[in-house]
Amino acid sequence: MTGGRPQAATYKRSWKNYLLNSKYQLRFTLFMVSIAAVLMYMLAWGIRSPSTHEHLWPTVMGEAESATKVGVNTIQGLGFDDPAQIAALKSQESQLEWILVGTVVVLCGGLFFFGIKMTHKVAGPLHKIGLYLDKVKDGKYDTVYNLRKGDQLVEFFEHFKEAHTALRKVQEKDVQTLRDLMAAAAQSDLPGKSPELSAALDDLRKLLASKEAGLV
Amino acid sequence: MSSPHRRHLRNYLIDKSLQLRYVIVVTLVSAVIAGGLGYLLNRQETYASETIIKSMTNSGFMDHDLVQQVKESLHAQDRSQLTIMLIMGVGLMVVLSGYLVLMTHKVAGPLYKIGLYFDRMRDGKLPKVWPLRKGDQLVDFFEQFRAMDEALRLRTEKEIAALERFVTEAEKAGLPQAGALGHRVDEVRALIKEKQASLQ
Repeated sequence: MTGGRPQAATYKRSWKNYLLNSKYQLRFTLFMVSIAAVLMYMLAWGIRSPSTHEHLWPTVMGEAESATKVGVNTIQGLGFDDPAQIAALKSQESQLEWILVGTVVVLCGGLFFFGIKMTHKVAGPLHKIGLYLDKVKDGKYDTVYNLRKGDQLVEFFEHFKEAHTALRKVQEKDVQTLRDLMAAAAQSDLPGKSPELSAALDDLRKLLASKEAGLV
Repeated sequence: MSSPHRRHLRNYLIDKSLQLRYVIVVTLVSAVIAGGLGYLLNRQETYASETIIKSMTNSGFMDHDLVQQVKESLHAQDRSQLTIMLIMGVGLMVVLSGYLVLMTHKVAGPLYKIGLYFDRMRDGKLPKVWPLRKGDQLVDFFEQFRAMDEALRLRTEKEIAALERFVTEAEKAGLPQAGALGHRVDEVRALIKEKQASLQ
């Protein structure tokens, strides 16, 4: 993306360059992942009271624990102290916990990748515009290519493109005016009129050369 | 665009497609998680209540009316917990959506501001760029834009100086006002005026 054409039509996104604006992308992605993780933790496990060791609000695991407890008490109360049945109840509870842990990991991982991909569609156009801004700063006004399919900020990019076109037109007009002046000056031997005028013309010649170089 | 500008509630949603996309995704994900776990939680609660009722019935120590009373009380408790969970879920979604609108506004705001500057550039102006508001995002991108604008303004000032120097020296040398050369010098004078106007 450093050459004259920042985006070739065949350009494909690859995972290694998905993180273009880490500050913005990670902020939004990690916020989304944190919300999901906190929400899942609070509803699945919750917080226990330090004194009573009871859950402060109903949670999935809290309810599963109490269902297991009631089941075990019933089995023991009825005089069937069957370790296999009790173990089966407890394994049901731990199975549920593993499912929840797995869901948290898969969901957070999935959300992380989704978040990076989603924010990349904003960071990508900004990165591209940023490259053009740096070029204009250095006096280079090369052709602006369109955004990739699926990119966001299409409207914003159009504002930029219009501004870039206007700046380029100013350069083109300057070049034309200076070229015409140089041609007329050469015809009437202007540099020979005075050394100061000759020096001023030299400055304009340099200006013309730099402007011409910028219009690639 | 001046620095004491304050945000108003009505203009918090600047770029709907950008902001709502993120808000809807995060809110939907949260709603699905809360809904899924809420359902699981309710199922566990119902299962726990059923286990208690079954154990009371099987014990045979309690009469039918008392079991019925406990059953109704447990079901009422399950229903009220479900209602509380629903209210909390909806409340969470509303608060989360509001917060996300504020969060995305800090990205959409700078983009809107730069978009306005781009429009002025399209109209031939090189505006002075004011800093972002406190808490705004995309600071690096904004600085990139500001650096470009400053470079353009500085370059234009230097160009004006070079063009003015030429016109002054040409006048000193007593160049003819008419003819091809005189016409070209007039064009340079017009160019100087345009460039000066662009800096205002």
